[in-house]
Amino acid sequence: MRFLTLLVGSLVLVIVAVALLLSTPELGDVGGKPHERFSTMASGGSGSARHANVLWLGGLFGAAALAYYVALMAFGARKDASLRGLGPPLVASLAVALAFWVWLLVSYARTMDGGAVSFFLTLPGPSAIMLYGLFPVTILFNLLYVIGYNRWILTKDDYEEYERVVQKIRKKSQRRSS
Amino acid sequence: MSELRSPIILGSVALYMGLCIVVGFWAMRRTHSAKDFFMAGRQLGIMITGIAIFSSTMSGFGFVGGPGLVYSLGMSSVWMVISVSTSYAVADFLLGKRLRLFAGAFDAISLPDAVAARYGSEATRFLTALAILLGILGYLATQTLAMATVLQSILVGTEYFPEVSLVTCVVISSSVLVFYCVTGGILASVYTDMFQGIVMVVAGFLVFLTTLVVFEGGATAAVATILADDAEAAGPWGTLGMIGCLSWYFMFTVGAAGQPQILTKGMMIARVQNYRWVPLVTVFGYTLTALLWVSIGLVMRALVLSGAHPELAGADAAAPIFLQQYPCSRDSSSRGSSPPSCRRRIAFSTSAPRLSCTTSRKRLPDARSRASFSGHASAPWPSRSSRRSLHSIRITRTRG
Repeated sequence: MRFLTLLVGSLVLVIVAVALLLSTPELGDVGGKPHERFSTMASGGSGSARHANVLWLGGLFGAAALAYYVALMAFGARKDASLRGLGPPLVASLAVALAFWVWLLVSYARTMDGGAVSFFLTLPGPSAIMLYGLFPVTILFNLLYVIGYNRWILTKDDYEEYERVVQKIRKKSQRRSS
Repeated sequence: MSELRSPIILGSVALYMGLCIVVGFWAMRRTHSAKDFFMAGRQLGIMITGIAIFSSTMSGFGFVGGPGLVYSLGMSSVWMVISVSTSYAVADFLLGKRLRLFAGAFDAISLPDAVAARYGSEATRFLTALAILLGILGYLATQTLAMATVLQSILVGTEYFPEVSLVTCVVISSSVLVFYCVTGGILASVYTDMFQGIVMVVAGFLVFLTTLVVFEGGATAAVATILADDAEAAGPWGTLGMIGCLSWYFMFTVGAAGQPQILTKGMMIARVQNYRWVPLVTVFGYTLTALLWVSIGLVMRALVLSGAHPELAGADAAAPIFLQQYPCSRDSSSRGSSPPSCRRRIAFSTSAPRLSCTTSRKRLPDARSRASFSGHASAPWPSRSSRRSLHSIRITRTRG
């Protein structure tokens, strides 16, 4: 039930964030502009000019989307999965994802005015947080599935019951054909 | 050695296509029923299912369009990579095991079959098939174009076919594709997917290593060049901007989680208990191949910005041009005359993703043909009580 609340709540937040973003006037070249020298490339222009008034609304959109995905995962697990320990790791993973998300926003906000950029493993700080922080968290969600499969997705009891249902269906099918 | 360049490239392409045809023949001998043709007999193992899923996702779009997008838009398209990884988890939690259970219980041989069994309605089968058909047409066209573009790029780079047309390449690549689809069914498709997936992983990793050294000063210097030209392009939102990236992130995660060619492959695994390990293989493979997506685009953009390479004719040429013109070594003077082993890798790595996705999609609206395929008799639709029982296993079982 709590996950259902999270599912509906996060979806509502996504809708609210998108509605607010749509009603916010666009500044500068929001979607980029053609590159001055190369026709096959686009150029972003000034970060602060195009993101100043949407950065935190966008932050809300991203955070709500992350919560929505996690809620979808929880919704797809067994109904009693949260009692079997799914809740804490899933919520912890969401918390880690949100922490990286906020870090990414703060880091970008500091550099979008042309501030000094530090590099980490070949990438500028904010991009490094995205690729080396946020991306691995999404892999963590997949690992949770692998680790908790027998408890949250398909238990031994589930499988035995499934086998019984299948047998029942096949018997019915054989009766019909004979 | 440069005189061997064209024969090696052509030989690699011919070998690759020949292998696809051989797989088609091999699969044809193992296909005896509609279940074999559409579901690979529901006998796939963990590795082949996982690899087939990620190679279908990556596809020509990822290997050709992905680097092109990074070249054109900077870091923007990296959000697609992140969203696909998220979508695997969402799809597995929500649908993976459930569809496999329904496929097993009712002998469903397609996604519309499984949906029809779930709801006990022909209308749902028709609507699902229609949705798949409408949703996949544009994507299929893109994949067909991607494989023809790559083939043209490879052939034009040799001295034998300097002016081969795109239409000719569509005909050649589609012929191979249709041949092994028709002869070997999904079995041929998943085994070629596996072969292509392995090639993509190896090539993705090797190409990534190459991109680290091909730019003067290394990868950090390449990114610094992009940053100096346009800080936003190297930033987390690329040139597209934050809202565009987040829209992609939302749309691709939800969309990719429902891609029929992926979900259908999940229905083919032999034992539902083994589905547990599929995401591990899928995400690991996808991450390795995504290295190519990101690295080539960034390095090609830096090379063009720095004047080390002339501007590309189009953004989608980023991957083919990089793979053909930049050698495994750092020595830029040897550009275009890479060693044979490197050229084989080039030809293979560009060939592999061409077919991997298209084959899956060619067979997607198979629900329509199911009715006319003799020899297949799926289980009757379950009674309401059976559906409830299955549903309770799948979603809402709270007992014991």
